[in-house]
This record gives sequence, structure tokens and C-alpha cells, in this order.
Amino acid sequence: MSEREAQWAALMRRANAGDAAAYDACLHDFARAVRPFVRRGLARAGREADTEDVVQEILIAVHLKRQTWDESRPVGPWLYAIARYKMIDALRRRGSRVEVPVEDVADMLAAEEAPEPGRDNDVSRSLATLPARQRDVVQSIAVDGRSIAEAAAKLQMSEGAVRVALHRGLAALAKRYRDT
Amino acid sequence: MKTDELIRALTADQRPAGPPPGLALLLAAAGGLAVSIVLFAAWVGLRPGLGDLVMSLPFMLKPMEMGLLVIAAAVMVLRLVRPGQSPRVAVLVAAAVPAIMVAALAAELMMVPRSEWLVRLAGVHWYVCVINMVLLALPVLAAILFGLRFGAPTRPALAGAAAGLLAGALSATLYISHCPDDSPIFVAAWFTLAIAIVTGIGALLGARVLRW
Repeated sequence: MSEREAQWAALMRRANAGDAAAYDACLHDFARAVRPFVRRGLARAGREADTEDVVQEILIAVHLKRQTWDESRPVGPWLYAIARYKMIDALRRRGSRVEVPVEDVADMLAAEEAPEPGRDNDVSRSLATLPARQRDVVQSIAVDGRSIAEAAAKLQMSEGAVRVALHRGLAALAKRYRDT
Repeated sequence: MKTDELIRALTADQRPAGPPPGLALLLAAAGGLAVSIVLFAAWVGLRPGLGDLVMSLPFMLKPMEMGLLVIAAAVMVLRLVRPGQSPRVAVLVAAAVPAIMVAALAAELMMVPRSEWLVRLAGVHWYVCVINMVLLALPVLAAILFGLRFGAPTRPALAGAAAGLLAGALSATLYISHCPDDSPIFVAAWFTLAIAIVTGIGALLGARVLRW
């Protein structure tokens, strides 16, 4: 098992046990790892510019389906299967049909840092269509960097209501991709 | 929105992502099977003298074949519900079932006179068997597809087909306790047809309802 794999599995286990810092590190690592893979797949369809949108879509999917990772198995194949599925889906929605070979999940690809996406990307556009409460909560936590407690105080909601709105908002973002 | 910002929101969302996919599938399948058993008991019923058949090889081949198919299909579904897991081994095990059927069929054709073949193929009422097996599989299929939606099948049509195979095999297992025809000729033709129909329905539905 590679060093990265051991590290991912350890981080994911800690994340599942409720360690938010480990989960944060995990997601950043996942983003860096799938970015070159997504870029290469999209480049074949001349859609390289959409890389970061698809990376974000993959991260939301990983988050909402994190219970499907089996702790006794490696993280990499699970992550890349989700990435591949979401990438093909994204290409199909954009009207391109691209075969992504399974062997393409090369571990050798160098991790890549995030570019600076504009304020008008897929997630931002979907966010604008959410119910006001969910949108405000997601916006407040993601963009303004507030904690749950701070967002609750600012939006005059209970912390429980903020948690629910955040979860529903993220699930709704994932659904927006499916419906478009 | 920047990716770092999105990750901040994802990390802040500590609500559980859902039940473990294996558990969701087990509960859903058990619920669907319970419905099928009730329908079976109400409309179909047991075959008379069922207890005496345990020593009959042609009869016992049926639960053995279907049992193996149930196990293989269940493993297939459990693997396809999680991204990155291959169902290959389970597919190979499932493929052993038609092989056993063909072997039993060959033995039967050698032992039974040619004039008997069509009689055994038709059985008491072959079309009732096929229709009942397909209908009894539908509640189970719906339940398994529902359970699969708690997971993340990255091959929706294949996962749907596996769900159909499992539902068909469970329904056939149930139907064995009614079906009066034990000839391997009958089993190879009509059990196969019924399970293939349910598998096809599963693949078609899966491609539509299992996307996430």
C-alpha cells in the first residue's frame, strides 16, 4: 500500500470519528489528487476550462456519499471511481461523450493546486437558485468563513437550524447538477 | 466559489451522510421479500407433499441452483453499491449456475426419451410459472433499487441488472415451494426466462433511477 493511501485511510478514519481537521485535510488532498485526472479527461473533449467546476462537483459527491467508503479498503479506488463517474456525467450534460478508461486513474499524476475560479462558476450559480435560508447559510460558512455558531448569530437562527440548512443546501447543490 | 471555500462548507457539515449501504440494502431487501412472501402465501401457496421431495435430486437441484444465484447476486449488489469495487468474482460464481443447469439438462435429455422432451418442457403450466416468478420479483426489485439509492453505484445499469438478478433469484427460490415441475428441461427454460426478464427490467430501471 502506498504511503499516500495509508495517509488517506488514516485521515478518513479520523474524519469518520468526527475529526473536522482531518476531514478538511482529506478533502484538500482529494481535490489536489483528482484535479489532474479531471483536467486530462476534460481536455479530450476540449472542456479543460471546466476542470474546477467538475472538481467541486466531485468533492460534493464525495462528501454526500462518504459513508460508501469501506474502512477495510483503500481510499484511492473509491475516490477515483466517484471522480470518473462524476466526470463522465458532467461531460454528458455538456453534450460530449467521452470514454474514460479505468486505467486512467494513474497514481503517478502530480497533485495540482487549485486555480482561482471566478465568482460565477457552477456552484455559485446553483447556490443562487437555493431557498434563501440554505443559500445564506452555505454562503456565510463557505465564502465569509463563519463557524456554525457565528453563522447562527448573524442569521438569527439556532445552531441546529443552521446545521440542517447547511446539510440540505449541500444536498440540493448536488441535485442541481443532476437536474440540469 | 473557490474550491477552498466549498471545502470549508463541506467540513462544517457534520450531519451523518446516511446509513451504511449494506445495512440499507439488507433492510430494504428484507422488506421487499416480506411483501413477496405475503403475496405468495395469499395467491400461490405451497405445493402438496413438499416435505417428501427433499430426497429427490431433480427437485433439490432447484434450491441449490437458486441459492447459489442468490448469494452471487447479493455479493454483486453489495459490491456495485460502493464506488471502486469490482463485481467480477461474483459474476463468475453466478455463471456457474447456468453451467450446472446445462449439465443437468444434458443428463435429462440423455435419460428421457425424445417424445417426453416437449411434455417436460411445457410442464403443468409453464407460462403461469414465468408470470408468477416475474410478478413476485417486482416488490423485491423495487426494494433493492430503493436500497441502492442510499449508496453510490457508479454503474447504474449494471447495479440495476444485479438487483434484478437478485430479485429474480429470490422470487424463484420462493416459487420453488409451489412449482410442480422439477425437470431440468423446465428449469433451464422457464426459470432462466423469468430471471432474465427481471434482470432486464432491473437494468432499464437502474439506468434511470440509480443516477446520483
